[in-house]
Amino acid sequence: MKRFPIFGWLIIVLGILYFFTPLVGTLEWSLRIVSRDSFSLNAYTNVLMSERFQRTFGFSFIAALATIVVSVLLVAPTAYWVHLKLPRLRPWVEFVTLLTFVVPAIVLVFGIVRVYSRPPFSLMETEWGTNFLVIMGYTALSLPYTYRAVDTGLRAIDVRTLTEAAQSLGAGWGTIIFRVIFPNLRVALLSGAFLTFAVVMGEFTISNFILPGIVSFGPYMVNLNQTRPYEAAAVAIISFGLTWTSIGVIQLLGRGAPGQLAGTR
Amino acid sequence: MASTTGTARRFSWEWIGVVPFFLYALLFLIIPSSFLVIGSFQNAQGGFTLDNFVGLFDETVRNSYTLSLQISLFTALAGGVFGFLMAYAAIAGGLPRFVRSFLLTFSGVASNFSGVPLASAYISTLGRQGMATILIGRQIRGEVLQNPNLGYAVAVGMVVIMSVSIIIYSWLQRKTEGWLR
Repeated sequence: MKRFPIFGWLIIVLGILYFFTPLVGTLEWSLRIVSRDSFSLNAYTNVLMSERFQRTFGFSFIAALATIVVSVLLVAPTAYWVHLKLPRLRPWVEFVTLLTFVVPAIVLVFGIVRVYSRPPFSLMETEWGTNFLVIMGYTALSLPYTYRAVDTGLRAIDVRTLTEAAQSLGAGWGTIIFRVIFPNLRVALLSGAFLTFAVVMGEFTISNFILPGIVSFGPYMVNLNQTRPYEAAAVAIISFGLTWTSIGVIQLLGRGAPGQLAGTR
Repeated sequence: MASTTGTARRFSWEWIGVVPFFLYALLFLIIPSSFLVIGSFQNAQGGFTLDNFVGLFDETVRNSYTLSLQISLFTALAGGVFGFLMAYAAIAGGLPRFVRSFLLTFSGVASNFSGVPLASAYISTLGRQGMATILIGRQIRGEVLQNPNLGYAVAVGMVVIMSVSIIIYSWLQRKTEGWLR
């Protein structure tokens, strides 16, 4: 007969209290906007209807999608190629993807601003240019996640056999990468994509220093924190829900495909 | 697709496949970060100097490094012990399976729900910005610093600390990969 696992439950309950107290506090606070004695969703409707929320959220959403496309196109073919043809380069590629952990975002954005404010690349002067730089910075942030996801995915499939089979049927490199390798990596690519999405939606440093004013979602949240506390709590809850959804989707995708999930574990 | 012509051609063209990746890394990671390294070896007139690194041992700078290191160490230890206990409870503590998958999802959420929303959830009890972040931030905004190059040196010191931790991390990971086999 098994005893009731007191120790186990105690730890779990403590953990839940530790993690959820601030969240519940934030949620409760966000509902108290009208009065102390009643709950109301006004903070949420205020936020959702506000033009600045819609604009900054929209910007970060589109920036996240662009970052996902850029980082997948940059990382997946490279990881595949290194896997197949240039295993000697693997430590170097890994080194580059880990650079983002070594070089803090503030250092990176400082360098980017300095390099691209002057000729030959005066990208800081146009809106197109700053948007481009922000996407490049976000891509740098997403490299470790995307790379690790793709690398784990590639280890799980037989890259060489798939490639040779496709070649023997007359496929070119484009066909092999986009119609043979990518579909086999879809769980890995999607989990990398959702992680990137969560990272970009909450990003502050890079967009704050490259873009003029409050353009993206991170600086908007910080600004709200300083000016409108109830709405700020509402946004924190919304963004928590968003992150939870992203990770939930990754877990769902990873079901039945163990070992394909990198980054979050 | 004759394999005879392939050998010679493949030998010289294989590296082309990784050019976009390394070009990106050069343009948006390596060149931008090297600006800071160069600046940390320069004085206000642009000449070579090691003074900025000597300046790292000034009391204020040294104290902020020490404080950051202490906070990190404490966080790492507390996170390690607490995380271990929770993982142990979920796997060996006789808890139902759903607890395990919930913890797995939640730790994924928690690790990605960082930054601004988390700071606002914890109402920023601790200043999230370290010394280097503040110094360089001011520098970008064009606010006058007494010695911007010292700021670069502070950041380079931070990068060095991060590199050492990442190297130890990779080494440990390689070790544990060996255990799993």
